[in-house]
Amino acid sequence: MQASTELYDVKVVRYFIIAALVWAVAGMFIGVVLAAQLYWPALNFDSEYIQFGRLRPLHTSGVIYGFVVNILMGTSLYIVQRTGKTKLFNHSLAWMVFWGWQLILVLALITLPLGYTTSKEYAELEWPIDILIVIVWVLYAVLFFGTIAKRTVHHIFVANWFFGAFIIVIALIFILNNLALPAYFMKSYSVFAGAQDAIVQWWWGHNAVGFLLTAGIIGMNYYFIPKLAERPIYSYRLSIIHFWGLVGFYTWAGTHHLVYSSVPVWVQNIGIVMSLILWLPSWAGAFNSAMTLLQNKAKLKTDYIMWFFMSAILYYCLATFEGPLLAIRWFNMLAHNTEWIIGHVHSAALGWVGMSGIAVFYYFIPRLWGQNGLWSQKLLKWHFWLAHLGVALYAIALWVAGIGEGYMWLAQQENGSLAYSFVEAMDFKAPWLFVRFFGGACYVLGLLLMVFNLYKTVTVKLEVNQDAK
Amino acid sequence: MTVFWNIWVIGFIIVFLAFMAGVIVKYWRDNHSADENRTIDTFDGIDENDAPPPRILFISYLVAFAISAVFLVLYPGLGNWKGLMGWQQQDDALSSPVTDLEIEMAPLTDKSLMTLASNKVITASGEALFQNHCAACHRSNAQGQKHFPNLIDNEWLYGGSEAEILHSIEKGRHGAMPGWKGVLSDDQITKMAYYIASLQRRNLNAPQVKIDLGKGIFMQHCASCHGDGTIANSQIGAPLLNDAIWLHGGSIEEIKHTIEAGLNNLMPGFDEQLTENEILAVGAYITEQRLMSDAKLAALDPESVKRGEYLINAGDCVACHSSEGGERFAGGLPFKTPFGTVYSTNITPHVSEGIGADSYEDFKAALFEGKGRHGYLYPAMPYTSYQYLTEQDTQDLWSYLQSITAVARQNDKNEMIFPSNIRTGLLGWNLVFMDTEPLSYEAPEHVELTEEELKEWQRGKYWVMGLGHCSECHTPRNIAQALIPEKIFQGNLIDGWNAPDISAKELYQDRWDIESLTDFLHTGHSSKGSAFAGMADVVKNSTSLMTREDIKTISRYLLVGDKHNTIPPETKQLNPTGFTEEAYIDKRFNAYNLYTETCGVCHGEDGKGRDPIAPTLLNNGIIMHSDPFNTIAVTIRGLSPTYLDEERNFMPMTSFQNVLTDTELANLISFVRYYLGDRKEPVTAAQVKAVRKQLEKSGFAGNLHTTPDMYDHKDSSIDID
Amino acid sequence: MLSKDFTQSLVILIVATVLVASFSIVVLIVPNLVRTDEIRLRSMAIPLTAVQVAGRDVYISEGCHVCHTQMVRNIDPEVKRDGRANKEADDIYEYPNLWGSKRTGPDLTNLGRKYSDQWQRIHLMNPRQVVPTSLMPAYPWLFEQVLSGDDIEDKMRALQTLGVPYTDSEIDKARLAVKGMTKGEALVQYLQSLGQDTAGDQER
Repeated sequence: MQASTELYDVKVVRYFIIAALVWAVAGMFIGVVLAAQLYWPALNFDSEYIQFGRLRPLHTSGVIYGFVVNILMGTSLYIVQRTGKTKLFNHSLAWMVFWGWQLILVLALITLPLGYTTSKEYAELEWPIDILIVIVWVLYAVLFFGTIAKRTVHHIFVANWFFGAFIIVIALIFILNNLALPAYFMKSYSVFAGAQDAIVQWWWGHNAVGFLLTAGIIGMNYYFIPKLAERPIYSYRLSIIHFWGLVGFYTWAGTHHLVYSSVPVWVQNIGIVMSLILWLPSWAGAFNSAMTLLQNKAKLKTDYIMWFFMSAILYYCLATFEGPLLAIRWFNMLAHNTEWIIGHVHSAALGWVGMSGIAVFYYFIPRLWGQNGLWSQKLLKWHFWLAHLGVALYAIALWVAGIGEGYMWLAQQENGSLAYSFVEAMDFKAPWLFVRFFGGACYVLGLLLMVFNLYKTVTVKLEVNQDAK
Repeated sequence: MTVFWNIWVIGFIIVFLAFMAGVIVKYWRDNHSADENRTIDTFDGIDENDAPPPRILFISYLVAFAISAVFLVLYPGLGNWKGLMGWQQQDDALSSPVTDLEIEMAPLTDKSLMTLASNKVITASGEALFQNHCAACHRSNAQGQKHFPNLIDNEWLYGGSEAEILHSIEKGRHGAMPGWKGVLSDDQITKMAYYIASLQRRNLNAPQVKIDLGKGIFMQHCASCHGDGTIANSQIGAPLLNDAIWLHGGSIEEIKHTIEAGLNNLMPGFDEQLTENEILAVGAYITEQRLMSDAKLAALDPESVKRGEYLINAGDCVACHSSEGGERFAGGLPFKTPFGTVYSTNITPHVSEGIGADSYEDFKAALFEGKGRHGYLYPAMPYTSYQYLTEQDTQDLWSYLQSITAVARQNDKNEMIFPSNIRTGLLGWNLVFMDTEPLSYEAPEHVELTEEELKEWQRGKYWVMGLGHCSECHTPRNIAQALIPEKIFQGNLIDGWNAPDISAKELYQDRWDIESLTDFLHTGHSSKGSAFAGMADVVKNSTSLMTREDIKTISRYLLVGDKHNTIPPETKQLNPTGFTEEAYIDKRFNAYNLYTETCGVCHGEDGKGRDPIAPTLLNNGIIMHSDPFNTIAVTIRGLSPTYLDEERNFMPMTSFQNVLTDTELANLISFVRYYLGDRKEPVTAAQVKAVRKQLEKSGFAGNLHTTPDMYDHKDSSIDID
Repeated sequence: MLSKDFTQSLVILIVATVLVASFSIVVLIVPNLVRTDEIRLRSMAIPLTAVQVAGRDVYISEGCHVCHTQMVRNIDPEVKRDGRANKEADDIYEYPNLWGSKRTGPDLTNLGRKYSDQWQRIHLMNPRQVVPTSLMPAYPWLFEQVLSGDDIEDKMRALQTLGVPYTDSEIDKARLAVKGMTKGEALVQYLQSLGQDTAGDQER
């Protein structure tokens, strides 16, 4: 590892990873606060700054732009160097991207609680910050692709295709979705209205999931899973089918968020068809990763970081099965706007993205700081089970709450009268919202164990090295 | 979509799917060349092997493409193509209703609400509609809430005929009242509020003169809509002001707010949102609920309700369960304890705000064991006393509480500090401090009683220890706020007054007898002085409403005493002499001149009181009381009139807080107690100082002065530890 | 061919990704964006007044859309619960759409015909006053903060540019209409406008 620090730009990667860790904890902690607010409304404290409506975009932005983008930028810049056998395209550019992105996050942290929002989901930030995002993103693209361009090996490694798709498609959809006419500083109106705006919004919304939370994380895992498993990537050609299937079908799927809405029926149905086909490349990719891990059964038996990756793949399978299922009209009718959707997003976000990220933190951080082992395997084990308990409680609670309320909203008596009032449905799900809060709290508690464990790992160098020996 | 764009859309979808299918087919055909063990390339130590993708993947892909193609032929998806199935998305539903309201209504000939109300099918639809469209304002059982009227109490702002009810739903109603802020002064509005509040029986400490002035203002400004407040006007929705229904809140504060801000009360019309039959169904549901409520009230035994009313007066439930000037039994009185503030609750039969959803068992559990439906009650609720009630009396209380007007006043949130805000902890309190032994009615050993006296004593014990809950104020408490059983009736400090020692020994010493004590409790006035402060409220709301016979039993029990409350044989009775010749020149106090300049002005130079100015001090129970606290406190605080008896409304007593020094007060009080109370032990300046400090700290000191507005300054929000 | 090349050539990787990902733009986005005029022809929508625009921006700023949808799906029980289902042409002046994606609270598409202003005010100040088990935060500050109206002209001018048919005189009067109003009052006026323009059309 000592040699590698000279060969490659690693310091900026460390910064990105630390930023990702900080935002993971902060973003998910805010999520737990939100969950608590839904059970104890008094926790809104009658404060305009932390009431649910303003805090929620901070949670989603914090996790997506803080945790995920930081970890993807960090790992992509690391992987692109190592797999291309070259230093970064431009050293200062890397730091501009890092600090530019952190500036954006700080601005988000300030402006969202102050109520500056466009209302567009996962794209709430107002236009001056959007412009900054575009600038930093373009710099990041230049840096990443520039580094690929100056690689000293012939082929482009599979992880870099996924990172490349992540960078390109996010740029495309972000710009189109955020086209807005500024009324004045920090206030703008989307240039699209109503149903047209909704199509653009969900085309963005779903692809943000598809390319940030899926393609990007897949890219990261295509490097770290074989590294950790110390085994080859199972199938190269499956990677190719996986990649083009994902890029091809994912971008169409967004309109399944608009089933039964007032957008044209054909737009909805095309989204449904593509969503169902999307199941196949998703599971194909999961199969490839799982087979890579399973080649090293001996390590899988003892290493909880391997388990985290394996769990992430299984949650990915669950979420990519549940997603197409929810796109089917009958299920969509029941689940649309309910807690089930939140549960679905979180079994993917906590299970797939979160556990992948956790595995990378555990594997990568010690190595970035020149360590080989972890300070405590016991804490790691605790974290693993806490995280699982958390996701399981979360998912189960919101299945019950979501299916329950979805059914109660739609149930009719014999003569077509509604069977339940909205308040009855709300009262039904209340205890399950507590379970969800508890699950989320377990998950964040696990994260704190990880932070402590990694802090000890990095600072207590000597002991660890002796332990490892 | 235009033809161009239609072709465009269909073209690109087909091209895309064909392209993707092509990629899959290409890889499938090439699959035989794959080899799991071949390494294609290596990056940073990661080998890329060339295992074949599973065949099932390719097959699934092609099946998926085939299904998609069929789907897009059968259903919309390809641009303007509608699909062969003729499917439309509004046909989808989770349930499949077999009929609808229109079909169900069609054969019905009698569509009066009374008839429809007995048709379960119609009222079930009406309920669903009501919950969806009406419940956010009128609550799910149509009982209403503050600002939004009760629809099942047979009181209608805009008339209760079926036509009028249906009109209200279809077209809505709009009631407006101008605000008077800026037109009338705050003082005028307050007086008017007193007048309006006085139209209904309630705990109102306002002098008649203010009420009369308020009436004048009311008649001048409000009579055109409200008359004198006792007539309703359903044309404009002006309500009766002399009943117990206060749509916008009935406390003095709320009445004032309504007068100041006016009203703009809108019920939206639903004729655009609901069909005619749906409106009939809603009307039917409301009618059904009203009839159910009527039936429930009719099922109550009127005799039981009447007895319950007597008992609830005896228990003085209203004292705690009404806020200052607030609606009866609607709760909201703060109880400041060392552990935070608890508020009394609404015990009217409102389902969501009161105890309307409780069963008799719930009620009994609260009354006997302190178990509320939402957890253990704080022992500010004297369930430790109420547990001694008989079954019959408990049922009668319950009957009465079900019969009173439901008030929609929301309960306040208690402000208890951790950990006393965790109600489960009260279980421990109950285990430690609650004596669940049944009450013994065996005759006390220390006195001989005739059979009749014993009967009186037993009845009196039931009143005193049970509903009367006298010990709750008159017994000292320990640190956990529990009564100390060994010190029963030995007095306690409450709200800056001493709830006096009423043990048999003290009463005997101070020469209370059955007549004077019965007079005192029944009328608030007696040969031994008058009730004031908290006790005046007790007399007003409770004991004065009981029969003299029952009060006599209470007196009997208190005077005789009980097991822990005996009169030691050596106890001597006090015998005040009044001001003798020696008193005028008594050098020990040197206070007679001071007395004549202060107390004597009202209480007479002889201390025997002046009707209707001031009560007697000679033989006065407070002057004779062993603890001089109240005598000191009254000089520092002053007193407001009690309005217990129009004929004997003593004048307010002014505060001497800023007039007399500790030494002067000590001498004066020692002097008065010596001659008028036969208490020889002098009061020291240090004692006076201590009481004064305590009262100052709690904000009680000197808060009463004889100014025109003195009646408005209540000491309700003042704290004492 | 493609498979061989994109793994070796950065340019092919980028171009191919853009091309494949763009199919959805070409099919789902472009044909719908060009239909603006066609959709407008069928619309009953009435532009919001200045105060309602201010109220709508309070709605956005507080994140009401996070928990409330404004999209009644065309399904029988949903129409029974929330009123007339949205039609494509209803929302032509909705820059941006406020359909939302989560119904933590009820749908608000047709809210404007259900409750009195007073109910709305009480409910915003403390939802649990009127709906005891409500989860909604209380918004007391909305009735303390006063709008200056200084920015309303810019807002309406921007909306006018985007296609909301405001007249210049409407924009001129906007500031005085908004000035001095609390955020809460403006929000209530916006909420009360919801669904009013389509009230006459109950066809599914």
